[in-house]
Amino acid sequence: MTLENIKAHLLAQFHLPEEQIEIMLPSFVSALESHMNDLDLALNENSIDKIAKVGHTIKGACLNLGLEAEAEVAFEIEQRGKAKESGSDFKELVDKLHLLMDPLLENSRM
Amino acid sequence: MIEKGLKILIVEDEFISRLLLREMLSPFGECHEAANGNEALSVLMDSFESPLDYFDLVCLDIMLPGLNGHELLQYIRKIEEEKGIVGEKIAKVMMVSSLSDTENIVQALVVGKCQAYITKPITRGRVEEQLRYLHLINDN
Repeated sequence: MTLENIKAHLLAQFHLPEEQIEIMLPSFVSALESHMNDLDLALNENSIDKIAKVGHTIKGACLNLGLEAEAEVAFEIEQRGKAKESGSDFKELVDKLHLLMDPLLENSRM
Repeated sequence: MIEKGLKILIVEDEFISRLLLREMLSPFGECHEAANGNEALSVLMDSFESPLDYFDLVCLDIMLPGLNGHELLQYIRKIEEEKGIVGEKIAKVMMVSSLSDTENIVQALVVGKCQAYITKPITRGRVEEQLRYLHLINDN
């Protein structure tokens, strides 16, 4: 997914003027970065509760931005966290989410 | 499109969702925001001082830091009752959540007595549809 995909989603689903989307987009990207940082922290702390909560947060944000693949991975993180699946490889899931998110976030800095 | 400006409280801890909700709702009136249940309660308590100042609509997320949306809704209804805010004067509460399981929906609608429940992703169409359903805006 690219920033252009997000812009198209915001136009189609929220009917926001393009100029307004351009103004809002940097803060959206910043919020996504912050959420990913929180997820990394939760993973480092090995806190399954926090992992589940941040997964839920990221899922909601991604759904509203039309980032469906990202939302799916975040949902899986949330579900496994809520089920307290201590055997789950959360690192693998978080890495998967980074693979999807990082290009989008890096693109926005260019 | 609307008969009067609405007074709206958006309770949502996630920045992107909160901002998009504000964009959708600000054409219809004055939007206030809270990022958690305690902040929301503080805003609501101020508005209880004057019946004319009370909220028309509360958009309420469920998973919030501290008090969750269900607990906050219970508080809202309890305080409304204590303050004599009844019938048509109670705030219309619309839950806005990515939780789509029956348990949460039933808890909100039946136990919590919210008036509407929409699941994320939110869209302009769905938000306005609910505002019409709640008779907060007209059809045109």
